Amino acid sequence: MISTQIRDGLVVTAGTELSEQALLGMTETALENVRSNGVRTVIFELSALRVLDRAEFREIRAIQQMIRMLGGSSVLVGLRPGIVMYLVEFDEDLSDIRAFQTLEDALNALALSA
Amino acid sequence: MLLRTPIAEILAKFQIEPADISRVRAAGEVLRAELPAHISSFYDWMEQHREYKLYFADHPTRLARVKEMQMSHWHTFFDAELDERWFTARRHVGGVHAHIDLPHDIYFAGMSMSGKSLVDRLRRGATDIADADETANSLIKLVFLDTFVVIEEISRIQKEKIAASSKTLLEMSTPVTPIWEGILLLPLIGIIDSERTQDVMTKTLDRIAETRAKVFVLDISGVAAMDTAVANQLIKITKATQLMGCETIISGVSPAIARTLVELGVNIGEVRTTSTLRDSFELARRAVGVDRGLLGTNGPAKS
Repeated sequence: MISTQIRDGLVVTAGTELSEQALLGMTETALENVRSNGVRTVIFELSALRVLDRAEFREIRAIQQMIRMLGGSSVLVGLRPGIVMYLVEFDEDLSDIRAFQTLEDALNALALSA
Repeated sequence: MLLRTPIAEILAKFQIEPADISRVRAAGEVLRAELPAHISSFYDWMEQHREYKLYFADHPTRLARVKEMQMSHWHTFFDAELDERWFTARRHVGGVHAHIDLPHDIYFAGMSMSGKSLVDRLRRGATDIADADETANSLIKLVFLDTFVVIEEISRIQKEKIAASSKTLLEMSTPVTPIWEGILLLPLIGIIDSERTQDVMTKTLDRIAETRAKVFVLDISGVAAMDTAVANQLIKITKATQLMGCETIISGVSPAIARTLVELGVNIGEVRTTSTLRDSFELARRAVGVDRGLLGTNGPAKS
């Protein structure tokens, strides 16, 4: 898990799969940065992710909620077709998710690009 | 069909017992000598049908070859070794017939003619066979079994062909096409079932990943009918594209479909719909153009 701050955005990049430790790391990094480093939007960059099960997806949703409670917002970037189809097929709650195909799209849309 | 019925089960169904097999073999003793005459009468009969011209007129060598194959077939028939090899050989014959598109009627007629011809010859020639009637019955049973195996193979091959062509049709029926920078269009036409919606989902998401489209216009003006299941599938597709950062606009919603959806109580949620493709283009172009960033949570600009 790697994180990069761009202005008031924070890009959190996940690896090919999400271990419990990685999820913990993501939670801590995201929340800490929103609380004390002036980060307003957390961008979860998931394009390297090959598999994502429902439990892991709910973990991410939970992190998103925590960020919202701290007054921030978050977006998902780069979900693969296979993962998306799986989540939709199993009727996961997908309401209020803002998502982008590429990091560039996200940065443009969030007005974080130079 | 991957799992074939076991041979024993087929024989039981056709009521073919060891006694039948030994009767057929005994009849073979008499009839093998008659085979050349039988085959020549078969082709005399065949000549009266248009299939003869169709398959043999321009192929003099083919006729000789087929006659030879038929001869060896009847020898195998009288060997009556109904094992896996026998079935495979008959299926091969079915394969050949399927390949030349031989009509069922001429094949059945031919087998019926052959059965009758052989039984007649048996009755005329073999006074020394004790139970001629029983033997005739046994012969006919085997002829039916033989015919069944061939025809089953033919219909299996035909089904395979149909399945293959409907797959091609399915491939062609989902043309997800980029029509503008960042806009994909899929005009859905005809009848939609769950297999097709699955195909639409897969193709659409792959195309979005490929082209990085921001808007996906799904035009359903050519869709004949809509039910709850299909409507829910379409809504799933819109959710899926959203997760890929691509907004779906459903266009071509007819008054009839709108009424059906509302009456069915389908909750279309936040899915954008327009009645004309033109309106969808308008929305789509606005989304990827001037107000690019506004599409996400805020929706397109009002003006």
